[in-house]
Amino acid sequence: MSEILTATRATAPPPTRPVARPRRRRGSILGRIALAVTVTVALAPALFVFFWMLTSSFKQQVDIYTIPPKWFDFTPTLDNYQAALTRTPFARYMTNSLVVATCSSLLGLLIGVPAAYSIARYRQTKLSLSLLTARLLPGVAYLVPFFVAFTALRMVGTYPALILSHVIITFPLTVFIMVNFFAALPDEVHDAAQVDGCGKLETFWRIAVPLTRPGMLTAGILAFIFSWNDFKMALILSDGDSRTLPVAVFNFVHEASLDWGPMMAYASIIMLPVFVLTLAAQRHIVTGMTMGSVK
Amino acid sequence: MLDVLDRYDRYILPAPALIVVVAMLAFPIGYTVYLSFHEWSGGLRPPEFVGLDNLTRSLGDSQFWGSIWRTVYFVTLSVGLQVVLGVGAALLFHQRFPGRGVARTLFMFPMIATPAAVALVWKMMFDPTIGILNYLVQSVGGPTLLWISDANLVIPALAIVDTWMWTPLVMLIVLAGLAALPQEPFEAAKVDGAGPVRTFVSVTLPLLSPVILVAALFRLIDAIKTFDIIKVITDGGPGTASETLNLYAFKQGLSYLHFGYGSMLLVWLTLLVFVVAIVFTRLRARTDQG
Repeated sequence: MSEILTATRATAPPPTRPVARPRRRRGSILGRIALAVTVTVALAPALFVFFWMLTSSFKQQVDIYTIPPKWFDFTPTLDNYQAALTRTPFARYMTNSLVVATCSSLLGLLIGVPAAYSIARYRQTKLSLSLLTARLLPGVAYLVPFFVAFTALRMVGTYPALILSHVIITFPLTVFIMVNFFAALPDEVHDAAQVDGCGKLETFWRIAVPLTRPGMLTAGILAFIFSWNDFKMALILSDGDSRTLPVAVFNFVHEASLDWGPMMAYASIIMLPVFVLTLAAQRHIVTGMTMGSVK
Repeated sequence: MLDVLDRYDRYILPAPALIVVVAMLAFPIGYTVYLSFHEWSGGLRPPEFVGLDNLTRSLGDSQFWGSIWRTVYFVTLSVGLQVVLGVGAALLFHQRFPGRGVARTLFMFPMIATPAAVALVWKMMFDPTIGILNYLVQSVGGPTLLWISDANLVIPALAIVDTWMWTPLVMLIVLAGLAALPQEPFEAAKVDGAGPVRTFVSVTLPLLSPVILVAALFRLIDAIKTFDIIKVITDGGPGTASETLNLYAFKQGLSYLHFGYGSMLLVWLTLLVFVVAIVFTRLRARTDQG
């Protein structure tokens, strides 16, 4: 098992500045064109799905069902967005998603950051390994116990149940990212603090934590995204008005049969915050994803 | 006061984490194993101990074996595709070109997008009559496909979605590996007059294989657990044609509330994940030495 951990670590350096390859000559126009075409072909499927979702969300029903498809020549409408926002208590679901994702990522930081510091400083591999096991375990395996426990506690449908269940997503992610940031702090930093009469806990709180703020931002953003995206936990631990957006849109499928326009509007709105966050922190996202690669 | 606490800082700092690990990870797993030896549908009556009944039941359950087969089929197909495409994409995005950073970020979008929402878009695109996919297939002279309504096509269709979502992750891991490669072997190959293809097969690929294995391991483990897209796109259908072990266990446990049998299936699922993890770890250890 430790193999996997070291493997994860081995791939940890961010792929930001690869060594320049001298092979492709800069001047070759043909080579450049070939490269441009290949990049376009590679990006096309990745982006097409979002393109289709967005354009469909602005189409009238008749334009959605037209074959051959209308790529750009349709009259845009906001009807679908209006339907998505009014047919269900959208504001309610949005609030649920925001509250749950924010609280669970903050809680993940609160629990994960000190643990990560301790793991990095005292090489607590056992704790680290138990978290790695959590990464391996199928999330569905938690669902039955969570459902039973939260039902017994009459907590199904409440924020605490959702937030707590999401902590098992956000907290290992935080630890995996923060361990690397704390490990990268030079020993001298700690030594200097001790010489200055700083206690160990004080060193952690007043020296290590401020120095690794960028790491915490990365961890926080990624935790937020993964909590926001979660479907499994929310599917069984929320009900009625406590649904988060991914579950709400899923239920929308049943309630509205297959009314694609509003559904595409719904899907677009759900993904908006994720993309904004990703663009705001793209380099950090890459680091975080390859490091923990926690789904 | 702080002095006293300082002496135990290595226990105090991870204490909240340990509590979470026990309460939210160890307890649920222990409870799942416990329930797998019981028969229970919730309610006021306590779980009834049935020994190994659930185990023997699963061994004789054709739906269980079918779900294992579908899991293996789905995972092999999707991870195979992702590794090939991911390595290719990594080689491509390793090249220097203007706008590379933006291109990489755009390529990453599928794995960050909300799976349940993305799954809906695919569901619409798969529609046999109004779906865009059939239009595209037909416009190059292909047949009309039923995609997710066809029992023989549904797993490949879901594998396409999974590949679409997770090829970027393979790309990112391999890209990190490419960036860390030593330059000497490449220079040596150049001196020896090796062409790009020869260099790739004899130098790049062997040097990259440990990283590729890690990427494959990550994907294998997660692909076995794929839930969101299958639940939203097909819910295991048509019939049980796309009911993987994960989904079958979910249905038994949480849709039909057969907590005992569902838990036994989840134990199987967990074992499957661990076997894959261990086999791959061994494999990796060997390539590292060789």
